[in-house]
Amino acid sequence: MPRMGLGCHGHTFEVKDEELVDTAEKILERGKKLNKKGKILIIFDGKKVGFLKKNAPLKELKAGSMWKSAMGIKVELLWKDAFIGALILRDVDGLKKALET
Amino acid sequence: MDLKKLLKLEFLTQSSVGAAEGLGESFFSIVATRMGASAFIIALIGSSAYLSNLLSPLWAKLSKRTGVKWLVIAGLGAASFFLFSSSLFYDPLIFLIFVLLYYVGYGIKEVLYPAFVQKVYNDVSVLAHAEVAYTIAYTAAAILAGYIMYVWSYKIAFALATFLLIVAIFSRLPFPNPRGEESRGSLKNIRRDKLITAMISTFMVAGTGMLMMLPAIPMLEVDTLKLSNIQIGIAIAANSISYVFFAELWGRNIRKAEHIVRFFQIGFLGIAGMAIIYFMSTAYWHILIANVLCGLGGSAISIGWQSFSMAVPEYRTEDLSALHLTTCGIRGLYAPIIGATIISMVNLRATFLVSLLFVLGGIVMAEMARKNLRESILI
Repeated sequence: MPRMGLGCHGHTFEVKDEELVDTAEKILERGKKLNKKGKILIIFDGKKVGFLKKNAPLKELKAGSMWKSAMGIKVELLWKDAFIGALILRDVDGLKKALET
Repeated sequence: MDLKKLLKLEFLTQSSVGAAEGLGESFFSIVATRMGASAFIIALIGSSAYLSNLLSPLWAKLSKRTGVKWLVIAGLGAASFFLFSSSLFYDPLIFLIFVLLYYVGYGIKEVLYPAFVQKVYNDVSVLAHAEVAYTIAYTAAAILAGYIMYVWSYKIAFALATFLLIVAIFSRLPFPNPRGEESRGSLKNIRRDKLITAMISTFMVAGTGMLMMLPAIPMLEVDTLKLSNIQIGIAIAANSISYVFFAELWGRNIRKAEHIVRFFQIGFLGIAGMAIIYFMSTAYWHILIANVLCGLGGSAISIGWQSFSMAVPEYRTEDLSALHLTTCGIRGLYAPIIGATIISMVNLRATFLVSLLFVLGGIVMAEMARKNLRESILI
């Protein structure tokens, strides 16, 4: 890219973490769906932690790619091997504590 | 080969390609301007760098058959050949053709690097050090290139860059050859909803303004301000240091979804400031400030889009990254030509004013996109 890259470069890398997969799947097991203004939200521990494009059973969802940014971790959710939405985990440690209780 | 040894080689590869970019491609448009190339040829040299964005689906598909490593090595081999060849002919048109071919080859490495890294390393955070090595090498090489071109010739700098690309090829040889994936990101999965339309419109307007400046900048630096290659090399280095510094700063401060649009606006403001300074510039230190602003703006936009693609739960991160790269590639092809047209029909400095208007338009449009973003991200 020339000197004037001007915002057109920068790579994103996936996070590979088995512990995170485990955390995401536990959140899906214990989470609830909430239909708010036509949007299907995933609620866990009283917080909005995810979004679904279709009304799929949470227990049938699998964790796919994961991405880490300064705002938290995005866990892409798969239903029947197709992307259906994502969890946005802002405070992973807090969520893990909530899972222990 | 164990991971520790591969990491050392990763370090060597990144340092080599960083130095090769600093010695070679960072000066392409400057060399063409000194050859007496027309505004249109300089614009096409600027556009060439964006060709790889559009070819990325082809390389992803091909890497499924050949494996990522061999395709990257072939691309680096082609790039080194065309880079060296470009220094053998002192003709702007022939130079443009070789630069175009260089970017076709070099673009393979750019496109497949994330796939390569993710398949070889489990913890990609270790690569932060290799990226630091890349930046240091690029920055130092840009200054060195300016000196070499001032004292001897750009041909020596390009020959050194060729050698470093060959070093990068050899340092990639011991790596495994993972198969590529075709579907790393696709525009097919992107719907034309309010958010996507708002973001794409904003970036098309602001980005057109930004990339319009590509032919005007080297012409102003070389023909109007009569800067030496040493001065230009230092300006390139200032841009690079500014980019890294501000990318680190933005990365630490982007905490909330609402910040994303603000980061885009900061980025556009930085680029608008750069356009104003280039428009008014009469001295070398103006160019240095403009380059610092360019690094500031470019980094805010890059970090902003990375955060955007990772914060929107409705879309896959890779699909949003593909959307950004493709739209960047499209405006990278036409915007410099618009810049060259303004240079030919009006004058050189007018390009910066038109560019400024587009970028300011982008700031206003980003404000309008804020509501859509807030609704999508604040789940």
